[in-house]
Amino acid sequence: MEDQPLVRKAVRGALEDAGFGVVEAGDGEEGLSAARRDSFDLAIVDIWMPRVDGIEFLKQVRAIHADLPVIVISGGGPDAPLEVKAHLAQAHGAHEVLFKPFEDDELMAAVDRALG
Amino acid sequence: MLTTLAPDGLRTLIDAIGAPVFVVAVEDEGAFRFVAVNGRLETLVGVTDAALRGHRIEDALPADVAERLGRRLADCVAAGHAYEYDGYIENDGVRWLKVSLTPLLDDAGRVVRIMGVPLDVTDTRMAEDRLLRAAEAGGVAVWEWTLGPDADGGLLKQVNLAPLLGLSEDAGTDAAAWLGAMTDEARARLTPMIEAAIAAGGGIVTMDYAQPTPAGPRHLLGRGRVCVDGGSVRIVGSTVDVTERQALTRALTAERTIFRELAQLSSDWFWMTDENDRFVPFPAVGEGDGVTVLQAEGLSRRDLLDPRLPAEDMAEIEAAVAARRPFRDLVYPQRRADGTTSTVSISGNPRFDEAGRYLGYIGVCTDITARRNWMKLQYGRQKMEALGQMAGGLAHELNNLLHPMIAFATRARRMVGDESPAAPLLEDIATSGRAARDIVRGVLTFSRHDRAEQRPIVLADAICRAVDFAVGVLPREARVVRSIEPLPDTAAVRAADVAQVVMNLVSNALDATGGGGTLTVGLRRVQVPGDAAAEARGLARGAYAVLRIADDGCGMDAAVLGSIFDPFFTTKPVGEGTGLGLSVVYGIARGWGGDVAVTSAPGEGAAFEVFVPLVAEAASSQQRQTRDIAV
Repeated sequence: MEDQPLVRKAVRGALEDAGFGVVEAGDGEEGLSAARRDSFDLAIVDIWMPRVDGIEFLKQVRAIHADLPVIVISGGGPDAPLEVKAHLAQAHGAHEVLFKPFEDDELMAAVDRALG
Repeated sequence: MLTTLAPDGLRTLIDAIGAPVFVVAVEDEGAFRFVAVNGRLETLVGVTDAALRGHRIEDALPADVAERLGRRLADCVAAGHAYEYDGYIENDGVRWLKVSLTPLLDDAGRVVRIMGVPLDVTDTRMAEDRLLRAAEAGGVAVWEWTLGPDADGGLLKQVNLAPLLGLSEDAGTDAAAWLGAMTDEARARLTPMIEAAIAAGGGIVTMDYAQPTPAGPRHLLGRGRVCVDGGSVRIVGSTVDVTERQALTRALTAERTIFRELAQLSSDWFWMTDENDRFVPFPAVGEGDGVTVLQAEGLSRRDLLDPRLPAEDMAEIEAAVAARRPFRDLVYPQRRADGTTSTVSISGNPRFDEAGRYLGYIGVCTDITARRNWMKLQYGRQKMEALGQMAGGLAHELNNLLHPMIAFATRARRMVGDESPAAPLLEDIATSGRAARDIVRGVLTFSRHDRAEQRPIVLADAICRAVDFAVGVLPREARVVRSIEPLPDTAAVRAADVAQVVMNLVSNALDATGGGGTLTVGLRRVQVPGDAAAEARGLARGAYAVLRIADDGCGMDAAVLGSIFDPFFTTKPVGEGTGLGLSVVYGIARGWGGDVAVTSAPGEGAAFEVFVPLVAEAASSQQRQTRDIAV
């Protein structure tokens, strides 16, 4: 889940190279719809998105899928400091927070940790 | 002998006396007959000796004269002693007389004859009169009383006294009446003064007192001379109504008191200049009144100007003074007596006398240094916050753009293989992107304001390790003087952030000294009060550790100091450093709930002080509890 298409493409690329199947969503609402339709092993969620943001998604996805591992990615935000949001994310059950721009191998290490 | 001497003999005797003299015999029926007169009496009375001698007074003199004389002679007989009175006679105009009568007694003690000496006191009397009329016209009361144990307290003369005392004209104004008209308090004050003067054989008595009158209370000022003349005591003097003057004095005193109180309450200074625009002492109030007055006698305003700072409105002040115009709220840097500078705002009005001549200026002066400093601080904080906001927003956008840039360049590099000529280009793109990422991360640190919960660490230890590391790692040599107090206090900070702060400050200091200088690193504990200055800096009341890193390098001027914490601000040549170091220190310090401040002057090195809030003993355990619950 990420509103920036290029970032989606980059993350998608890294995940597919590692053999994962990827479903993209442009914001939290699309993500929730997807979660209702299918089951997933992992969600990678940006914090700042229009309509339903990452934190909202975290709160609501628990109702659909109780222990879906979630990795939060963040670029910092204009309206709230970086680490406050990251802290909140972890408080709502995100497994880990990655700060953009991150390397592909950082991402894959985090995925391994979340799934393993 | 005078009693029994025959008329002729008497005549011879009294002829020798220079003044007019007459002797009358007292007859049984209470009549009086002239026995002897001397030559000078004729001139005075206008009746010849022959017409007088041997005749009864009523036969010799005009009826009214005889009547008046007769009464006085009778009084003298009744008194039995010397008797003096004021009389007059009409003889070619009015002649004023002072007549003294002396009774001559026989062996049995009866008054058989009376000798009278009438003195012509017309000139004196007329002079007196003119004086009295003048006094009356001036509203002054003039009076003369006989006093003393033998006197009857008779009023010898008075002018204007009755209205002054609020008595009716025909009220008796002997001494008793006069004293009676006074209040008990005034009388009690006056009596011992007069007695003392009499005892001293004479003297001046002055008294001002309140006098009740039918028209209301008046305030009188009386001044008299006590004259002791053998057995007789007189008091002569004048009294003036000073009620208006009193009221004026009281009003003036009241106004002055109000002025003094306002001046005390005001935190402004008062100043005054003369016609040469030099400072003079301020009248009416002074240091003793608890009022601040500018101490600059003899100096001109330009002498007070501190030339090291911008002159601001000084030219405008001088132009206004040259044109003798009033001016308001003009600002300039003023040198204090102790050599420091304060920024003052002054207002002034020109003064002129009745003839329109210029006398100088009068005005007030307010010290606005504190206000200016506070505004500068506020402006600085707001600027930093605005920068932080902008930086945060910008960083977010850039991060989103850098991610695909780095990711795709890295992927593409993997795809083309090592032999491809595109390989190094793609590597460069990725490297460049990562460099951009680090810069953005640095900027984000600056704009960070979080108070993320953090297990407290012992600050002194973290700082010591950080200093060792920074000094060891950085290339240049310099002398490092440490005075780090081994504070046991903890602070809710990350060791990595402490290291970053120390590293950046030490690096900055080493740059300033350029190798060969001295670096001082200090740590001490301070208590920050909950006052306005602390509030302006955003520091809560409490205990802080102050990390001080100072160098003896080239120092910085006011312009550089104003921008020193701005991101990307650097005095280094292009390519050397990003200018982020100190802005990161600022962001970290404020994130801790502390502050960083710098003092410096060109040529005098620089000192950075980082305020780190310490964890109070009781709070640290509380903090751990809070962390557990918040999850």
